[in-house]
Amino acid sequence: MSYDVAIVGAGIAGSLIAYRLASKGLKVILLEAGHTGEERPKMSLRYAEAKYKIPSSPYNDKISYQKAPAPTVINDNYYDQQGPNTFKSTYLRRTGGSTWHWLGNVPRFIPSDFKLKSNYDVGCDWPINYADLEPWYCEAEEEIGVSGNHDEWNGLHGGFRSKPFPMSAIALSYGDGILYDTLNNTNVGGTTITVNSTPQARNSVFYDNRSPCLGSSSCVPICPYSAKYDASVHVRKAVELGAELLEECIVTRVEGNPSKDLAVALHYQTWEGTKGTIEANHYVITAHSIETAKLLLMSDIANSSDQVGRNLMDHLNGAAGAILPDPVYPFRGPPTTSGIDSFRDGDFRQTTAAFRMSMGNNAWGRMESPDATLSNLVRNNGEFGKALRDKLNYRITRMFRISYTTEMLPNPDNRVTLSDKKDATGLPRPQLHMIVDDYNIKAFTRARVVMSDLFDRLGAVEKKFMDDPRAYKGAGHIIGTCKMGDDPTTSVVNRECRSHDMSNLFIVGASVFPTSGTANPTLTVVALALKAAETICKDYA
Amino acid sequence: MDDQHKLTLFMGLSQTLTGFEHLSDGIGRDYLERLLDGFGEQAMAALLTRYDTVIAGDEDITDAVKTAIMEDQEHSPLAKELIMLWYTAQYKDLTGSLQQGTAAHYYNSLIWKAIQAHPPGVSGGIYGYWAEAPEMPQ
Repeated sequence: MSYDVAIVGAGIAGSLIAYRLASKGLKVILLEAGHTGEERPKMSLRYAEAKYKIPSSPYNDKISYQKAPAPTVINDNYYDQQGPNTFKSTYLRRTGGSTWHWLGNVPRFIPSDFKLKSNYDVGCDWPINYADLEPWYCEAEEEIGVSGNHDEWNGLHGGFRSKPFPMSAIALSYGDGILYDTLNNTNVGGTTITVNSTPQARNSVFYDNRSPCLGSSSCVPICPYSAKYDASVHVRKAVELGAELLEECIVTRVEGNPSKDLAVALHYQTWEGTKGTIEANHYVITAHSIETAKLLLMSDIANSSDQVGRNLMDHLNGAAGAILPDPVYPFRGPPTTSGIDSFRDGDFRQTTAAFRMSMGNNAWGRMESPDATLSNLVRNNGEFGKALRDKLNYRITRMFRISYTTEMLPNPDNRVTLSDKKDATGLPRPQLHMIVDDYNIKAFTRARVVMSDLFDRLGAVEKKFMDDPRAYKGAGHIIGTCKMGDDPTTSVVNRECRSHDMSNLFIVGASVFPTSGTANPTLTVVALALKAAETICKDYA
Repeated sequence: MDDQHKLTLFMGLSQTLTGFEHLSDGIGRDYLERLLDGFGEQAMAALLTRYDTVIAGDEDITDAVKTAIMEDQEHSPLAKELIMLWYTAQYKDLTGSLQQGTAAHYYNSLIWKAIQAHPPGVSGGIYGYWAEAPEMPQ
């Protein structure tokens, strides 16, 4: 065999596994459909020059979208959406993956998220529980560098912490102070709420040779100072330890032996069009939920359960805005530094989705951008000079926003399949089927009531809600498609992320989550990746 | 009207319309050119001449600019885009299409100064600066 381990997808999961295996002396190759792109300062410049400051704006090298096609928020040229509801989250195909433009919030899953079926008779249970994963959460936090408040989070919803955070919490914003004073420990519709600082993969001190956060407020889409973690950190570390990185290289097939119980090769095509093969002892697919499912379906392997591609989930996102009586001074520091986690668990999950709330430091976000406020004052109202400055300042410095993300239940009919339509490289586009049901709609309604209550307590002089109570955005948290479970007839991988069908094939990422929880998925992905790396190493012991 | 006089008037008008006294000459030079591109020589010359007349008069500048420029059908479209340009580094030309500027223009966009923040993409200060209320810039 040429390599000990071949990994498909140089995002956070793939690069961490590559790093851990290379550090144990294993011969690793990491394949990536995208490329590294430009240097960070150049990408920051692209962002400054961009007409629309959307998540892909620093990464807007057109060649990448032709050679490694990926979904964008602007058009639907990649996803083939069958509905009935639209899937709204996207991902990046480049070295370092979607962590380039992630916000960097890293709460853990809570114990109930692993036991949805046992606790609330909905969804399903994970084959592992919070306690099994807890030591790996600690390692994950140390490996990527997480800042947080141990006392706030230790025991929250039963989620105990065996170690403190590697770094203390990111400084709270000026506005957070007002929230804590007014809202902490109040009772909202029968729930006592607490405002918590948000654990973040963002340095509060110099950590791992990277600067502390300098409050550039552009986390999405890019941190100019590398204070926000992105997976290029571990790609670099893996390569330094001897892992090979093969970029601009799309894996088109995982070849199995005749009985399909072992993977024997990866077939790829490069951006130039040349074709190649990689052989290894172990194969790890970490191409994010949709590409991973697409690859396995194209390869017709690892799917005796018929679950590959199924149980696709997203976190559905909504928001509301208020004008508060006193300034909170948005657009300074990270876009969010605190949240309300009080609605992430409870008996209500029998009938209604749980949700996590973020307190925004970025005014009203897309509900009314600073540009829109300005345009109204100037173009519509003819304001100018000092009066314009005063009115602009008065409104925007008092703008405050709460956003919420709801879980989705796993539904085998929410799925990725292969479209007949082909992308620019000649491969099948992902076809998506998705239904957003009452379990979620009721949560949107509940969140709206909660937000309105919170705004009233804060003395809001103006409130703005989304027009359509059924509307949602995608949080960028693409979960499911390769479900983890003990039973090979109903799951794709076992509790070690090893394929039930193929003993030398691992699938790691949010794709294996049996439920979506309400936490941003990445920290749980990292925990599973580190755990899987140890499992693979044991195969060599 | 020679170029230097044009620029001087443009800067004076920009100060009055934006409400900011300290504007960069270099950015001003760029913005004058961009607006000439988008609206043409004649419209700009007319606006600057009108402003020249206003400042030569006795009336309070703010009131005079309001009547003579911001509420004037001929001059207000360009005047408004001038304000949008200084504040956002972008403006809409005669066809209504949004014109993008350089990174330098973006970094100088006044909207962030007006709300006591900073353009996203550059630091607003040292670690933790966001925990304190900001100062009001000049």
